[in-house]
Amino acid sequence: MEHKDDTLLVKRAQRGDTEAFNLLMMRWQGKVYRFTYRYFADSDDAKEITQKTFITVYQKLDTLDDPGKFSSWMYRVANNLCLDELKRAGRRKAQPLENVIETPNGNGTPAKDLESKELGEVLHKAMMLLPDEQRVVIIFKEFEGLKFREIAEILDEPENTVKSRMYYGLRSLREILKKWNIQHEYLNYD
Amino acid sequence: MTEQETRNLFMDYLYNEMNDKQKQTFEAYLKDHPELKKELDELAETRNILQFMSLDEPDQKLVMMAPEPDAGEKTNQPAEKTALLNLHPAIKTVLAVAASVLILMIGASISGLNMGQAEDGFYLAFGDVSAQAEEGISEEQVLMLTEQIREENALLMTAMLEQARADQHAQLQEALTLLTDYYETRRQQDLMLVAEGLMQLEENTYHRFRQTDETLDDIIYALSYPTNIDD
Repeated sequence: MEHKDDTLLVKRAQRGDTEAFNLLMMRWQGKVYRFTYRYFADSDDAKEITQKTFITVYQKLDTLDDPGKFSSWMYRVANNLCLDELKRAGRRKAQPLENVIETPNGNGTPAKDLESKELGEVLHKAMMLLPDEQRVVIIFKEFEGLKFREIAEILDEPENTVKSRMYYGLRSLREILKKWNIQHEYLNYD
Repeated sequence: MTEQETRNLFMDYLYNEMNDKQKQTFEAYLKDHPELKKELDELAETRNILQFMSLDEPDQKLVMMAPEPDAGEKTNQPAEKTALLNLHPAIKTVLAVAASVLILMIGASISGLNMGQAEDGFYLAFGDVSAQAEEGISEEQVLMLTEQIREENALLMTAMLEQARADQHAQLQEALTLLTDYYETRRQQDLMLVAEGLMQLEENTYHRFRQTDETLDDIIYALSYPTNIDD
């Protein structure tokens, strides 16, 4: 899951080596940013949470007992900060999925939207409609390429729970895309 | 196979987290359950479409620790400065003296400082050096000046003593006047108190005389007309 040298860098950083910590940040800031960007679908939020993540990592690095588990520990920090941000901003309050998937932005049909917008943006919107616990599993699995075991470790949940969330996440996503008439047009793209 | 087990197998199969044997077993199972195969295909299609998700890469370093203070100081110093600091102490001293002399020369030039040697000795002056300054002061003039200063000092001391004496006299006079006034006031107050006491005594004495006279009159009257008593 992580670079072999990361463990050495973490050990050096724990001893107060600023250069080692800088190297760790350079290696990981892209991954953390991509994770947070997919979580919020917003560049500013992603940058802010990425910065907060590394500040927290710097402050609490001493508490990491096993430097070999740095990446999962850091992802956990990032995920917790994302959840805190959601609570703070009061966004995405719970509401039935059926109520929000009628249209992606309220104007015209999704198919027409695709004429002017990138499919990626619509997918971001669809992802944002998923429950947080399903979305984060999809991000970790689909985009960060982590094993279910690793995701379970990060989220501190049983592995079967993680798989179940992944399954329901994909099904919900498919349901949303179907409602937006995106599925048939793009699923045959490949 | 339970529903939960099926979901877990779906995920393991989709993300290739099965070994070959498990894979073959699961594929055989799917052949017998076309509805599950259809659902699995739909999930795979959904996975495929996720690959279209866009991503903005950060165009800058989002976080960067400040370098350690020592390292920063070392790296931020210009090469010339570092070279100067590494010089031998003796060379540094010579350079410092040279710099001081240069500063003094510039200062002297700006202020018009003049130095030189006259017949009587060295001179140091600002601005143009007059003839008198160049010649210096003779011993006789110095003695005259000293005598003059001494006389002025004596006069000044005498004037100061006179002034001090006059001030002292005035203060003494003022103190005596104040003391005299004080005693006079006290004497007047005492006299008034004595006079008042005498008047009070006189009044009391008169009052008692009158009371005595009245009593005597009553006695005389009673003795003169004893019949009245018998009645």
